[in-house]
Amino acid sequence: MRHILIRILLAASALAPYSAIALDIQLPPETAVFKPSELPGYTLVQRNCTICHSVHYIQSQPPTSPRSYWEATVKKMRVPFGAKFPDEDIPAIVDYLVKTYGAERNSKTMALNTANKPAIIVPMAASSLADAKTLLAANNCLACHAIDNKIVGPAFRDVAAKYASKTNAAALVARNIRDGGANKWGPVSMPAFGKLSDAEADTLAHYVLSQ
Amino acid sequence: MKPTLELTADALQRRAFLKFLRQASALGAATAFGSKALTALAGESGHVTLPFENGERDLVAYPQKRPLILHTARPPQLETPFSVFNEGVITPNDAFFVRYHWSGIPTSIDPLTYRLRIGGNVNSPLDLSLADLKQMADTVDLVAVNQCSGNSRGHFMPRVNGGQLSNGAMGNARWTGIPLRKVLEKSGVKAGSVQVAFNGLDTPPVGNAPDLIKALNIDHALDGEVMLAWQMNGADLPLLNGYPVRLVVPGYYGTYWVKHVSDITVTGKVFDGFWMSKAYRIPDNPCACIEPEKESAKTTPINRMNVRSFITSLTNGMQIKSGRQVIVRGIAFDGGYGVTEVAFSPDGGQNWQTAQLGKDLGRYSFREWSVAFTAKRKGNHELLVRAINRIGQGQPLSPLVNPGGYMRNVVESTHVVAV
Repeated sequence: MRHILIRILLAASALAPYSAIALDIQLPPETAVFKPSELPGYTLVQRNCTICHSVHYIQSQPPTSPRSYWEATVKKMRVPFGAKFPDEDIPAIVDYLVKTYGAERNSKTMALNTANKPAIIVPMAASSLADAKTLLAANNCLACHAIDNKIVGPAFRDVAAKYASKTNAAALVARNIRDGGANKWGPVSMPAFGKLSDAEADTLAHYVLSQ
Repeated sequence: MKPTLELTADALQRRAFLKFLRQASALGAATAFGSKALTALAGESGHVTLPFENGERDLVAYPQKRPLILHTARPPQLETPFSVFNEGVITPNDAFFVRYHWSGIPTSIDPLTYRLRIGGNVNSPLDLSLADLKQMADTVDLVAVNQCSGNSRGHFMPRVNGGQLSNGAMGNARWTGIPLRKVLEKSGVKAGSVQVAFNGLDTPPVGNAPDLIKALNIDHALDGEVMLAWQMNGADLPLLNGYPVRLVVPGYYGTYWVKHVSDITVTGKVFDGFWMSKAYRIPDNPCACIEPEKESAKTTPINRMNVRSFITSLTNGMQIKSGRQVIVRGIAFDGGYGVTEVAFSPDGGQNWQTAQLGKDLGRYSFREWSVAFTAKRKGNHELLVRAINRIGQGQPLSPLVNPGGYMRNVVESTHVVAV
């Protein structure tokens, strides 16, 4: 039935060539998440990898993938693929990946390749005290956003302007931060930052809206 | 008003919505819908386990698609469930595989503002609307297979990293468009041009990453077969397959079939972007192969597809009746010389018999084949199939390997149980 409806929508556009409609799609929500771990690389992969791609790329690799593969791939993400994490983070990222998804898994760190819904994720320490700038740094927001110019995502000022007239602006922005979003600001969708607490998302939303 | 709301509502509402749509289109009131968002229906729709370790995948319905095998969500990479290839020799648009490289994919394209630019080493750069393009020359139709370079990568042993695909990153469609040559001729390719580079609307998420730009040699681009296509199987391209226009490079791997083509640049030297000079390279020898773990001394860009054949009517582990004849069916294809013979072995390769070829839809198409098979005893039977093309190329009995896990074309084996 869905396909018929789509055809009818497209046919409708063909019948009215001077008022043709754009073809818009909305992608389904992204549900794959990194397997929680106490390894220090866990936080780093959350901050960095999902800026550009879903966790599927990692979790679908053969479980036999050796450390050399993960190391080469992480380095490739920096050059030439443009990821911005510093050199000193590479060993921890590689260590998490090979021990969680690769040849150095053990029963404790073994990852299952099911697109698990986000499980209970350990909240960040002292979250209630974290101020906006700490949260921006901890979640690498500034890899994609700046205050007054578009990088990958929109400028905070543009977000503030868009929501200025909305009475529930903070709640809307907080929800977009927590759940991620697409189709609002351009082709690159924003990953979900589901590990943020309500208070943290609210802090960030107010910071963005105050720009 | 979002169509998805109606789609998930009950049948009565659906009928009402259909009626509304019919009336709206009859009145030419398409604008009443504004810019409609086609939303994926219902999200996940099941799971499959591909036949290799860590092969569990979700089946997810993306916009304009039936539930397909989800490899990655961002960017979307969707594989066709293999059973689709037994439904017919043409792969339906809503089942056709999807492959992107970067997460900056266009999710809204207005056919009225879309532009295609032709520039570089030409006398007259062009800036075309979709209507301009469609009127530039008589349209042509061609049935051709589009296959991902890494189709079947997940089956290699030892495993090869990269997209862990089973055999469904391929499809066969009737493409409608105009020859690229017409556009290049209109623009006037300057003497001494070497290649033509193609870029689409998809972009890397971070600014300094290499955009997916592919190039063909100038003679190839001007061969009259390479096509700018806006339809597949008689309908507009689905967005995820390159709406509104994609490059069709018959016989060549899908990496060259640039989607949402926006810029065509004639070059005076070999284009050296990352996706030509570093990625999608194969060993530069006749088998495009090298022993595992070895570095290729010399590589070349992947190009024409090799010969493949599959049984589609039987799958591994399927039960059949012993002593009763079944018609085994399947498909075969190559890089455009045309499949001339398909051979079937009912006994793991000891004996071979010639299969009957189905209707010829052209040398770039899947070719159906069928053969009668009777399991004379109960128990396991290993069925093999191999194809040969017009220039005598066949398929190896053990896989040829290369570092990218590309071009797998081993003779496929299907185990059935006679009861």
